[in-house]
Amino acid sequence: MLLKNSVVSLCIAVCGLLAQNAGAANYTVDGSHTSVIFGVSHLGYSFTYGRFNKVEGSFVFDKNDPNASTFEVTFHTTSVDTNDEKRDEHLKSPDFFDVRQFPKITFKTTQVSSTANEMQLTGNLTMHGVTKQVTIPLKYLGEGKGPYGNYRCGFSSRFTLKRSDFEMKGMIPHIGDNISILFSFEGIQNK
Amino acid sequence: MITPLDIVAIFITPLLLGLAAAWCFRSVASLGAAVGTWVALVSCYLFRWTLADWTILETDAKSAGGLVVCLKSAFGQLVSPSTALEWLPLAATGVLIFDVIGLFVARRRGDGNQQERELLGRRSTVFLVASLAAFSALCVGLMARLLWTSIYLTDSYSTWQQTAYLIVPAIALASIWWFGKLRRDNSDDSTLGLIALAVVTLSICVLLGTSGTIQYALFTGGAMTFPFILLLHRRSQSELARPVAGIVAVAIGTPVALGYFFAELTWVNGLAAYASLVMLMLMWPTRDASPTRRWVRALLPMLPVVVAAANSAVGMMNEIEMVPEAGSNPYINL
Repeated sequence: MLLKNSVVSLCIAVCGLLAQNAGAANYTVDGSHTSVIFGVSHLGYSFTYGRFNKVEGSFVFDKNDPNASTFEVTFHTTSVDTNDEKRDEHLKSPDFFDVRQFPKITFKTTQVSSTANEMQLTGNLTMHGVTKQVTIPLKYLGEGKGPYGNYRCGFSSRFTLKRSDFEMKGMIPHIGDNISILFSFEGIQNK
Repeated sequence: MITPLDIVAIFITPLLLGLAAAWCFRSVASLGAAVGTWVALVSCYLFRWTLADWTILETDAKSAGGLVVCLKSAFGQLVSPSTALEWLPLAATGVLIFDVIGLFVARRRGDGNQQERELLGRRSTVFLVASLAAFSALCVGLMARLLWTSIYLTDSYSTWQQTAYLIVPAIALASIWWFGKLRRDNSDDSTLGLIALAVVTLSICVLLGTSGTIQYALFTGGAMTFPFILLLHRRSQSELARPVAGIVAVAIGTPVALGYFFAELTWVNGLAAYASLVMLMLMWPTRDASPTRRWVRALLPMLPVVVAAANSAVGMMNEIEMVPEAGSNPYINL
């Protein structure tokens, strides 16, 4: 009897786990395990790197059918940080991000396609008041339970943007036009 | 970094085009000054944006064809603005149209040539109050558009604060225009008045440049063409402040408001700039006053903004000296 109950409990647990992971799942971006690093040329002599400290977002992801996934991320431009207070002030000014007028950078997918190794996210990127369709690569890193029991899923991406495409043309070419971006994020599955 | 090409784009070319436009409209005295300054303002923005696009072009694309593409793109920016500052040429166009309508209304009311000399036309109390109300409404609309996507019109601020952010700068801008139109003197001293206008504009330019935004300073610098265009008109008309009051409010006053909202311009410095613009419009030196009185009328409006600009510049220099790794300061490096 005891064995029968244990088998039933085990079956229920396995079914529950399978149900949890089967099909698309909704995730909320975990800001404390998300990094957005950008790099820009300074006079052609060096690269200066900075980050956005506040990122929010959500996504729907199905490992078995990545093409059905959707991603939505928001970077708060007020949280730009290049480890130099005076420069951050200038980056927040109308010469660059104009953070009081455009406090957010948003990206929302319109189409996801995938190959064996990575996905291609096509979507609308809105920055500095300009919305453009961009395609960025996204690499699936892994998923599983975290130390506190919540289910997590993570990705990383590396791509380049031209800031002039978003009408952010201040100080080009002294401060580079091409911005390299390294973006890695983790989502916690919604209960 | 400001290059010689910037000076050509924001000052020399707009000045030449502004002078040409003013000359074309010389037969309608005050319209020439207004149109000339408007052309200078619009071309300042147009050519600065053209230059920005030109700078981005690859070396092999820098040809006559490339220049046309850049001009086309800048023109697109002019008619389809994105950032707050980009709305100013359209705002100035609205102000010019407003003033020209005022002129035609005045003409229809039958005051002939005398009215032609003052864009707003017949200055009956009702007409002036109605004009002020309409212009104030225009300024509220302008501020609403300029702050549209900003944090100032979000839930972060109370309804009262949001209303104040629209109304207070709008009244300030309208008052610059109003005080310019209200003047009854018709014997402006061109030399002293224009020196005062140039100094006030330059000081506001410095104030904005030392308040975290080089871009606002550059575009305000384009308004340095105004005194020169008015100088051309000193023979054809004696009234100088009145026809350009609206353009001055938009081209110089609005960046001050934007500097407060979007850059680091303090409200004290903003108030100093506003005080100088209003005093300049109210106290424009006249030829019939004594020399001492003329100088007082020219110098007093300069004082608040010159002191504020000097203080701001010194503050910035001290700040730079205090930064140990000055090499990482963008204002030093560029």
